[in-house]
Formats: sequence, C-alpha cells, structure tokens
Amino acid sequence: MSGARARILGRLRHALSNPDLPFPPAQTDPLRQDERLDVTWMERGEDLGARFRREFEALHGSCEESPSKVAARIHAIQKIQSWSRQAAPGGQSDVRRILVWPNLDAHAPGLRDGLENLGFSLYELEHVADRDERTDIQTIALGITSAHAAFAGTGSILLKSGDGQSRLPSLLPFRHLVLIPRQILWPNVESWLRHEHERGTLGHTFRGSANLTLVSGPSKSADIESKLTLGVHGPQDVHVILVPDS
Amino acid sequence: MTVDVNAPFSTRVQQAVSNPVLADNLTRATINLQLKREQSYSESHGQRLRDQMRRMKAHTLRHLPELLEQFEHNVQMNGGNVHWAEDGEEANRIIMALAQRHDVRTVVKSKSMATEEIHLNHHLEAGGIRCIETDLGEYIIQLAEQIPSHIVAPVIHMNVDEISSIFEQALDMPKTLDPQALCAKARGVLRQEFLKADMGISGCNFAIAETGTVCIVTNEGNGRMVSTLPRVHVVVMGIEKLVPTPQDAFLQYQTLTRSATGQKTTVYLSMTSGPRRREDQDGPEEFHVILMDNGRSQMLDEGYGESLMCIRCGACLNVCPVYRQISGHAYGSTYSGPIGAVITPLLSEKMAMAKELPYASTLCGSCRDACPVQIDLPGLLLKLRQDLVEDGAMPGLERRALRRYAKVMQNPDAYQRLGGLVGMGSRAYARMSGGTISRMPPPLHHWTRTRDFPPFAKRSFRQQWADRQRTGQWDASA
Repeated sequence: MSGARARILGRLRHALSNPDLPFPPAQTDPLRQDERLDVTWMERGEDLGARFRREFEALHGSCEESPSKVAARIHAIQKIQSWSRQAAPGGQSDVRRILVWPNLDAHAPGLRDGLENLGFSLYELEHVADRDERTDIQTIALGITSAHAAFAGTGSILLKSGDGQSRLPSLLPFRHLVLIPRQILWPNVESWLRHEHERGTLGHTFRGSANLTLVSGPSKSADIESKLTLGVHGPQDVHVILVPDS
Repeated sequence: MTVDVNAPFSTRVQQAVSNPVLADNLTRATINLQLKREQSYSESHGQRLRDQMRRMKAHTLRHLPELLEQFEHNVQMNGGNVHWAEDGEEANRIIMALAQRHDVRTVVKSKSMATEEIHLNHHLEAGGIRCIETDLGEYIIQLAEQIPSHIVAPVIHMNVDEISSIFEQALDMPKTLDPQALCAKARGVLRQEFLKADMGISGCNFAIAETGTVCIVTNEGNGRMVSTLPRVHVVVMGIEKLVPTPQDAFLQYQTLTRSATGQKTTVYLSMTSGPRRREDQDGPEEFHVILMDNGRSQMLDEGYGESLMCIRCGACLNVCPVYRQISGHAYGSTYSGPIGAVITPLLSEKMAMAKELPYASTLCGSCRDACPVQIDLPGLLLKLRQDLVEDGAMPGLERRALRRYAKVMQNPDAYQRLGGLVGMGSRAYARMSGGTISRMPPPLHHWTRTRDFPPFAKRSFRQQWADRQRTGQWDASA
C-alpha cells in the first residue's frame, strides 16, 4: 500500500478523533429507506405513459405511445424513413446504415426484416477497440436501442451496458430511437431504487455491469450566453416509442 | 479589458469592475440561473431536500475513512485500480506515469474542477501529451487560453460575439452569432479527437462507496464519450466526493442538478463501475481512480470540515453580489465565488497569495441561503479572517491601529476623550473644505474617494442624553 494512503487515512482519523472538532457532528445517522424523499412524484391517477411523454417532450425529445407491438414496428419504420430524408451533419451523413442492439425484434417483431427490406443495413457492434470498426461506424447517423428502465416523473431512460447492450448506439449517432416496453416504466427513479432495494438486487444492478447511464432527452448545452443548443456531443434527436406489454 | 489572473487581487478587481460588459454578462446569466434554481426547488420539497442532503453529507464526512476503504475495495473488485495522491503534484505524477505506460499521445478530458485545481493539462503538455477539453465551455476556455470563471458555466463571462471571435481565430470559422452553428463546429472537431484519443480523463461529481461506482453528470454527453471511447479511463476525484449508497447518489444528483441549473435531471448521468466486462462490445480496457487529498484532510482537521460538503453546484456564485461585479477571474484561482473564497486559501500551498479572498464578501448570507447543503459560508469566511489575523497576515500598521482601537473601546473615559477630539478635528476640517469632508487625510482617503464624510455633531449622544435626563427636554438642534 502506498504511503499516501496511510497518511491520508491517518490524518482523517486523527481529525475525526478530536472531540472538539466543530464539524461534522459526532452523531450523524444515515438516511433510512422509509424516510427518503421522493424528489419528483406522480399526481394521483396520472398515466405513466402520458407523464413520460410530457416530460420527455419538455426536454426537447419526442415520444409516441404505440397501441401494440405491431404498431410499434410501423411507428419505428415511419420515424426512421422520415429521418433518413433529413440531412445529418457532414461527418455523420450515412443514413442508410443503422447501429443497433441485437434484440430489437423482442419489442417490435419484424423490425429488422422490415428495415432491411427497405434497403437499410443494420450494424451490430463487435469490438469497438478495433480501429477499422471504429472508423467505419463513425459516419452512421442513427442508433436504435432499448433500455433497462424508464422513469416518467423526469422523462428519463436508464441504459445498462452488457452483452448486446453496447453503449455507442445511444451515443455516437446523430439520432437515437429507443424502444421502451411499458413494463419497465416506473413513476420515478426513487420507486425503482426502492424496488431494487427491497428485492436485494440494487448492489448487483450497479456492479453487474460496467456502466449505467441515465439519459433525459437529447444532448444539449447552454454554455454560450445561456442559450440552448442541441446535439453538442451526443444525439440531437431522441425519439422514444412506448411499446405495450403484449 | 480581460482580467489578468496572475495580477494582485486589487488589480484583478480593478480590471474586472472597469469592464462594463463583464458585470452585464454575469448579472444576466447568474440571475437566470438563480431564478431557475428557485423555481425548481419550489416544485419539490425544497427545504426537506436540503435537510436530507446536509444529513447525508455530514454522515459521509463523519465516516469518511471507512467509506474510502470500502470504495477502494469495491473499485478493485470491479476490476479497476485505485491510486492515492497526497497533493496535486503526486496526482499529476501518477497520471503522467499511466500515460507513458500506455504510450498516450492525446488525452480527451471532460469537465473537471479537480484537474483544474492541480493544473493537470499544463503538466501533461509539458510532457508532450496533447490535452483536449471537451465540455463546450471548457473547450472555448482552452482555445482562449483562459481559466474557467464559474464552477458550472466556465464561459459565463463571455458573450457570443467574443466566443465567435475565438472560433474565427483558432478554428478558422467565419464569424457567426448563432450559438448552434458554433456548437456544430465544436462537435465536428471534438468528435475526431474522441475517436483518436488514447486516454480519457474525467472528474467525478460523486462516487458510491457501496458499489465502487464513479458518477459523472453532464448535459452534452462528453462525459460519456470520455468514459467510453478511449482505451484507458482515469478519474481524478477529491477524497470528499463519496456518498455511501446508490440512493444517496440519486439524492445528491437531483439536488445538484436543481441547484446548478434548475434542471430536474441533466441529460446524462454516467455511472461507471470499472472497466469493460469480458462480454461488453465497448468501454475502456482499463479504469483508474485517483483519490486526491491536496489539503482536504487538513481542512477537516483545522475546523473547516463543513466546506468539504460542497457539491460544486455554483448556487452560491449565482447569488453573490460580489461575484456578479468582479467575475470568477478576479478570485484568481480555480474556485471562485463564496465557496472559492473559503477553500482557495485552504487548498493553496501559498496561503498568502489568497489571503485577501476571505474579505471578498459582504457577509450578506445569500450564499448560505442558496447552498443546497446549507454550508455556513459567512461563518467560515469569518473564521478564516480570524485565523489569518492570528497567523499574522495583516499589515503592521493595521494591526497596531486595531490594537489601540480595542484599548480605547474598553475604556469609557478614553473613548469620550478621543470622541471629543475627533469631533472637534472633523468640524474644523469640514469648515476648511466647505461644510463636508470630501477628502480625508491618508490612509482614510480611500474611503472618501467615492463619497463624502459628514462632520461629527457638535455635541455627542452622551452629552445630549445627559441634558435630557436633567431637563426632560430633547434639544434636537444640538
């Protein structure tokens, strides 16, 4: 162990052992689960999907609720076709190829075939450390993914990295389409945390994958004169399709 | 005129206040941020949120050594590496060694106050490594060769015209007043840097001890890029950045976003627990965390522990009347505003360099009211002033004058005699200069530079009071 470690911990312990230390107080209790505050909440009887949509649109994203999985496929294809007719920035103008997660058909059966029949080619990441693959995918204008969970109160989606759940399709392309099954929609992040805590799976959810990312709308900045600019580094357009359970 | 951050404090303040555009830019932007914060707190249980935050942070600080050990263990179990650094120099050395081991030519950075604090870019560039700031604001700062003037909004002091001139010069871009066009240009340039960089360096907004998870909060997505694309991801974090559990992390996250910009959430919250796993298609191959002290444990020891609860939201800057006038650069270091005035002298090895900062405050208390953790910033500033005086950081003349003043104030007779003398003197002086005193003799002449000093009344309050007791009448003409 390094000398720095011992010295830093030693100084902290020495300071905290002083009974006259003005701060922090000697008695400090951790927050209990039952007293934790919901920072955002749902109104009584409020529809989860409607709330998610309202919040997500306020964040400059777009969202539609599909009545069935078949409708979800049609909505997705329509959105992708309309996007492919719009210009994307110079370096990312390849609108015929799409960066995707492999399991999209679970949420919108037939989506892959439908897109391929229309002349789109779907690209699944293999190993992005590979230089050639990295150069190859950087021009792609669209990514399609699902999500691990979504939260209506803040209009947020939670992405969990893992096999078949690569991080780049939601990050590199100029546009991002997200298919979200209704059953992973929670009122707010606190209710999801509570559920994971009660099931005893919270620690595993955090440590079981290298990365969890909460995404709320398209990439933005207000660095220049507090004026809103979209698509700074991540996607400029994010479209969510809420898919019913069966 | 720009503020020269290496000039003495009084020069910096002079330079800042003589630029009329600066205070305008700042006041507009900070009031905007202040209103957004207030709105967002009124929508939630604002005060309860702040109380829970304060409790959580105090608990964390009380158990910091154990939480640091727990965090270290969990990062290692997740496949990451933990390094400890006593000070900035050691942190820079560790990062340099990592960069050399991986033959790194280009580093992409996401916004990090900790690396600003230790001047990491300067250090790496001296070793021949290119450092690219990727937060839009920080990128502009880097092109302009300045330092950030706000914890959250680094270019809050510039307007679009100034920024466009910087892009014109550095990137050969035609002048435009359209922020979206400037942003698109930066996206194109920085994307290439992301794709070719060998190492990503980020700060850390908070880290979860229970799971060994480092959390980065951004709106632009550069934090995700930096922690996903390069082969090696290095996190530089102060030892006070820990929270115990994931629930605490989300408590701090929502407090931070509401306090900083009035957002319910930012666009991205990246929570990284180690390097890519075997089954992953992307993510860094190596993950390093540098736990940096750099004066923090000493702050706790010296009684300034409360300031270690700071979550770097910038709310205290946005409400500070002094910050709005003098700008972040006048504070002359990485951290500006009320919290900067507290921690800069404590973090700085050259305490003397920053000894004026605790006086860059009117002690009005707006910062304490705005702080999401309710840090008693005016109290800490007063304590700092006291400590500075006790350490002898006060001009001899001032110290002698105040010591004599204290003596006089403790002795009623001496007080009355002196009061009578000063009153007589002031009236004589005023008569010579036509009724009021518009220029007092040195060293008091600073005070009358912008205002007149009225002469003392003929008869003191004590004399008037004694008359009234005797006659029962109040002679208002006295």
